[in-house]
Amino acid sequence: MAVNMGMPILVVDDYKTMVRIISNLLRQLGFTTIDEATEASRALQLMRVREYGLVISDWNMEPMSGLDLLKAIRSDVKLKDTPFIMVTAESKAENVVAAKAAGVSNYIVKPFNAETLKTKITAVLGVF
Amino acid sequence: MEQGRNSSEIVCEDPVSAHPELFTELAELGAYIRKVRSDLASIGPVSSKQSQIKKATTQLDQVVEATERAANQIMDACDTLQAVASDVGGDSAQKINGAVTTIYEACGFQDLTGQRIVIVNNTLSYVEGKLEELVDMLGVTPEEHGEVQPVKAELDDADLLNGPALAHEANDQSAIDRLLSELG
Repeated sequence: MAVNMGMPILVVDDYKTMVRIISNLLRQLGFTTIDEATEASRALQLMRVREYGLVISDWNMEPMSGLDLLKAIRSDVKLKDTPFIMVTAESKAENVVAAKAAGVSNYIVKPFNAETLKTKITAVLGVF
Repeated sequence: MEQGRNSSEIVCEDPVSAHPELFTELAELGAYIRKVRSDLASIGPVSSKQSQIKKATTQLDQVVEATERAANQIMDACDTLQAVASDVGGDSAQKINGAVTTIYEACGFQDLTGQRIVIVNNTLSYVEGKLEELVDMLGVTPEEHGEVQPVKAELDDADLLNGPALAHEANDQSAIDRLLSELG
């Protein structure tokens, strides 16, 4: 099935600069509907109102981390199948293992480039 | 000397009774010093590679390196844009060059942040030196630093919040991808 480039994507990071960078990269890739949140709890609120085709989230946020957000999504009957890509500076093996155990769809380590973002989104959503 | 008393029978006042507040102060001072020694011991060896201060200064050094690399990448990209501008010419070239100039100016952040970080690192090193002197002065022994924290059998979520790893400890994207595919 072709990827719907108009599907809403939610970008979550407590650094506004990083939110801006990821959003810009997504637009360059052709995605047209991008929502932003600087707190995981806000992201969860948005997800209960709108159906997102993909969530791209940082890990290291407080008080609710990206891992907490992932676990909350996966434990919610309505949200549990939402593709979730972690984009984070946490690069240790135990982090990858924990994210995978929590149900992450893919994992991007910072710093990353546009090509990596595209490759990982393709791995999750399909070719676009 | 009291009148009529033998000179060998000098009666001294009981110092505790005479100056109870002095001994209270000394007892409190002693308790404070014991607490400081205990706190210093809990910090761990001040000047070892594992000390919190060493970790902090190492992280800050890596901040400086990372921002320098990023600034250079930005300026390299600007060079490319300027080359394009010269091909394009006209008003568009002017606008591109204007924007590139603004970017170059903004890249000066790296120099300023680097300088501030050097100040912070120097301050931390100074504090570390003073702590070492205090440790020596109070005679805190290596044994009092306590045993190395045992490695936890299971990590909880808080243990996973470490931020960017040091360059020699970090896994790059290809290592992460391999691990993910191994995990299925």
